[in-house]
Amino acid sequence: MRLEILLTFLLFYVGAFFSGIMLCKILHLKKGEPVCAIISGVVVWWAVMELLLVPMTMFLQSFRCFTIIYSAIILGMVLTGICFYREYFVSDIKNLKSSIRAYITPGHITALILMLWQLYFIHHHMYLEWDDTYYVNIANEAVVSDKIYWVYPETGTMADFDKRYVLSLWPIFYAWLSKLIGVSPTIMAHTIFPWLMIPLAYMVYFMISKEWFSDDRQMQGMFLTFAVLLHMFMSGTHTSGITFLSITPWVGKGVLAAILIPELFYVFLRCANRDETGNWVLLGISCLGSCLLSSMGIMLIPILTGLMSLLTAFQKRDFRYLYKGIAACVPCVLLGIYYIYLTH
Amino acid sequence: MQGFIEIAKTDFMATFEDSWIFPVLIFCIFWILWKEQDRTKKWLAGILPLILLVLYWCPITGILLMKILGENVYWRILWLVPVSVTIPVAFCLLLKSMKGGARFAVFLILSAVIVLGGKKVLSTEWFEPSTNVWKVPQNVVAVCDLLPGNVHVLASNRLTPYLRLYDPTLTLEYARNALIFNGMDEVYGPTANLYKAIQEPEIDVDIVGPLAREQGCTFLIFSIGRTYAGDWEDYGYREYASTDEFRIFVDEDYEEGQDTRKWED
Repeated sequence: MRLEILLTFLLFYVGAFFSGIMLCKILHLKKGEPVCAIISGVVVWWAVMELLLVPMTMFLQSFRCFTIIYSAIILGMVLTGICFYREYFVSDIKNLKSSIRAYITPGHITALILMLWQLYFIHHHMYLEWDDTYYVNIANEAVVSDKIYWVYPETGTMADFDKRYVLSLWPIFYAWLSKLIGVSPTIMAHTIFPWLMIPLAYMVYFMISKEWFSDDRQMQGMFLTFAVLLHMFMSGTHTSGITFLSITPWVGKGVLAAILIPELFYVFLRCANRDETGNWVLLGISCLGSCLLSSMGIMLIPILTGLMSLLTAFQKRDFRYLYKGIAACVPCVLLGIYYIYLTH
Repeated sequence: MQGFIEIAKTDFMATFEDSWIFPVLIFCIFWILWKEQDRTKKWLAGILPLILLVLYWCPITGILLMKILGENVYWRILWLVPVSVTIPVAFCLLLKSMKGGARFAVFLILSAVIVLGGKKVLSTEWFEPSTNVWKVPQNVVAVCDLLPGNVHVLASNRLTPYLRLYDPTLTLEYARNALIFNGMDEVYGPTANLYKAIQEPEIDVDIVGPLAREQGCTFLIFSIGRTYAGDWEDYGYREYASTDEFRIFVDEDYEEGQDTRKWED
């Protein structure tokens, strides 16, 4: 299983890095931030998947067909990142090499140790999630029967189309990864996915810390430690937002609450600090990506983005922030209208 | 209105219970409003969570959001409160004014505040040691290893949520969706009647046998302690295998390698 974890880790992070390089170049985002490139790459993967998967599901296309097209698109993005933007990513690598020493602070080291402990614990334990019988079996059914969402996943018997989740088929993402790596989607979700999602979540907090305390590396490390600790010592039930990250990092709602909402906060912070078109487009891509994760994303994300935009517009006395924020929510709004059309 | 307050209160308590995270959050919000110099950051980490909490508790916005999101999932609004940004930012603002050993000592104290004030997530309350890479209960693995693939199965409630996670080629007569029948005195349809009959303390084979055959169940799996009134062989089932916890019956007409999965359109 170690080999499968390593292979998936490399595929996910290296692929996301180069896709992110491509996106950052297109959007003219700042050079020299490899972690930002990875985060951007992941959200663009999710956004592209949403754009492709919704029509393919509606037109009852096979999972094999989806895998071929989606893999080709991802490969295209990765190759574009490698070939055409070499200079761009070389600067990222150089920057990483030169700055890595600066990140050896007590805070960063503590955060890293805590994260490794969290991964070790989760790797050797299991949480029995009842909802898996629905969500993980959507992925299993896709791989086994080659059908995307038109078999009732809990029993495997009823040919049905539950409109509640048709716009947010997140399990197909790990079905795709499991098809590429050659493991069962259940293993991909339960055993491999924590190794992808937990570091990704903390990369988002790493970037927030850089944005917040740009001139104080020690403070960035301490911020990261506090953020990691909060994920390990939260409150309430297992569905209390960030608690999801440790409990069920493979569930779409969990990824939404623990990764995408903080990521959206980070991207909006960039928008508020540097009013550049590229940042706003990245915000729009993040909003679209959130729709893949959960139908809740379609509804919650416009509330958050709208509120942040409104507050920033008031604070800066510049209503262009509000208009741009609303524009970034357009993917969610359109999918929300389509959702209402489907369910009524 | 009373209903809204009840739902909001219950959900809020469920989200923040068993810890001191919420009082810490409130303290941190006000600390940020006081100490953060950058107005944009102050609004995003301080005022935003405050407004989200007001929107959550305010009956007008709350009822509106409840209508949009649904009563059962209203609490998910609380996911938007950036707890894991606001608390670290406030703590760092506190540390920013310190230097050297004092900063590190307070860093340790504030870390201890989170550890002692929060609820331990990586605990045996939620987790148990995993015994296989699928991370499903071992009794599921034991049963599935005995079953051939591509067959239609009627299984004990203890197994149904997990069987297809291990072997998705199986089809199940019912799964979690059958729990809805628990609250009904009278049910209609063979699947519902089959489910209800199996929930009885003693399984009446004269009821379950014909229904299982009618529904095309090739394998029947019951807890080993279950008792039966009647003879399975009268309805064409024989014992196939057993594990420590379960007994498996098979349709006598089943031939090895046969695909008996059930599809409905």
